[in-house]
Amino acid sequence: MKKILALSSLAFLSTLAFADTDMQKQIDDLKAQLEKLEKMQNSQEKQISKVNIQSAKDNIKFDVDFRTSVDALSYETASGEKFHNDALYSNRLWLGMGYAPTDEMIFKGQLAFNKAFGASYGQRGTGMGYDTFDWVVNETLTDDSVKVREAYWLWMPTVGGLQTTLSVGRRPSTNGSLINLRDDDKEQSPLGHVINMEFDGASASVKLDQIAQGMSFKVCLGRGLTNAGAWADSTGRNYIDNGVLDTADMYGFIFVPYNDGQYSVKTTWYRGMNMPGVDMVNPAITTDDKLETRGDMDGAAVSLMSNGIGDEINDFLDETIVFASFAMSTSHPDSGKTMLGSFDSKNGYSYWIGTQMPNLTGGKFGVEFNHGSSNWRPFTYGEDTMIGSKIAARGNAYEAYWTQPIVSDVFSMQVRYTRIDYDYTGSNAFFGDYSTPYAIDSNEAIDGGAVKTASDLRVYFRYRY
Amino acid sequence: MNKLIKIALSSALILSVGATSSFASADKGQKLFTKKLKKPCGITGAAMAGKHTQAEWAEIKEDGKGAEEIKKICPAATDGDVKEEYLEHYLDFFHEYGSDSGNVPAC
Repeated sequence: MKKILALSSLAFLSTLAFADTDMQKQIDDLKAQLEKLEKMQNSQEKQISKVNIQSAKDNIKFDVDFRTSVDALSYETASGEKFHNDALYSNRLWLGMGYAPTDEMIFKGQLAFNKAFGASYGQRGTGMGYDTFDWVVNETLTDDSVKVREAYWLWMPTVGGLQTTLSVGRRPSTNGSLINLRDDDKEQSPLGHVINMEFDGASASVKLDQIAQGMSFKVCLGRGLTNAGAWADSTGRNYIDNGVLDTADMYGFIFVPYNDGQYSVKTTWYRGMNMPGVDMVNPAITTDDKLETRGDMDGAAVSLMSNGIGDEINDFLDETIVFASFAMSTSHPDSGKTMLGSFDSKNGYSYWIGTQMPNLTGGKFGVEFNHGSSNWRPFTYGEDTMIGSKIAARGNAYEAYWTQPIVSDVFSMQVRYTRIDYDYTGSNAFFGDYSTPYAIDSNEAIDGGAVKTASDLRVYFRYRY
Repeated sequence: MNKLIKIALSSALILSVGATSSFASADKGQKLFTKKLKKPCGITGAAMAGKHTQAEWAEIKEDGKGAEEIKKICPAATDGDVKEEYLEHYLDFFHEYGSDSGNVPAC
């Protein structure tokens, strides 16, 4: 019996040993297979990533920003006359594009279309021509053609350990700092208090974080007008100086002394040379309202912003923005010519304050106020306000808006009310006699039919992807 | 006021009350990065996002390893910089500009 038991145990143990060996072998095989699968997966992920890079970086990437808006416009003149357009419908399309074949070299562009609903008979783009003027051609309501709003290359090399940029083309010079808040746009580099119009030019910048957090310096160059005449005119001298207007150039800088993401200080200075304007004294020119070169115009601004109040006190304060900005302009008329109605250099100033705060519906609510003096003259012709640039107001401008995301970050709406009370005429004119500041209750203003008060109530719906 | 404006205003109000979304997450992430991480990381947001592919950022988010990964890349970042409430926005922003995204950062 004992012998049988011993033999049985031996047989059992040996089976177990074999089973163990067999199981271990299976586990080892499985491990090897898992490792193989893992390697295959890693390899496939790398392959997918390569394909992604190839497909993503081998093409220009497009984005769409399409806005439909309705504006109720009201004007009251110095003599008390009232004018309205209760429902001006318009569509605006921005077709953005970007291409970054390397980390240091980028192309960006934007095609635009901006038009009122319906045909316009002999009104826009066929009258004075200012609504199709190159500085504002994509900001005003024109026809259904698609135009280039931005097109530039941007090179971002690191030089001597410093991050630098160099860019040439039709650069973004609208939607600059602070004005982008109410426009619900990403901030572009110009200070919206003084520059908000389209430009062809160049810029070069260097980041100086080693000196102070967020410090940077950018040089900006722009050409606002060319003196080149037409191709194949009667003289046969293509593109030479047309003898009408001088080339108008601008140079300046944007200096950011500090920007830690919450608190920022931004400054700018520029000089616009050979600025155009209409001469109302010279009858030869007045008859057809032609522009002539009048002189230079300087501008400067300092803008302070707190993006969040305090440090994590609560979500509301974290998301609240407050800002204040101060700006100046100075005219330099050419000898024997007037600018802003004067043969002498004139200074203008403006201040602008505002806040934007989150609301209970996940949107943003904002209020702004700005004031400009009699000789205030910024370059904000491209501002997205139907009644004319509120920032350029020689008087007071009030604004309240509510921006609300509706479907994620793809579809949003805004309700905005803007009111401008002018103290002086000429707020939205160029640099010649139309920009002469007559007090709004003066005979000149009353007889000329100057607008005393303007308001715009806008509702828009906007798709972005 | 014109009837059409009234209708548009009413529609806007109704739609906004029904809306549940908050600010765009990737945009918020970009803003938070500038505020909280730019200094400790010492690199731009685009450079930070370019440290991983979109799939890798998605996996980091899914595995709940966002804070760990950010601290690995930015050793100077503190716990306060990588709070749970910020992570979703950071990771959405990094995913948006991941190394294989082809998305072109704002300049």
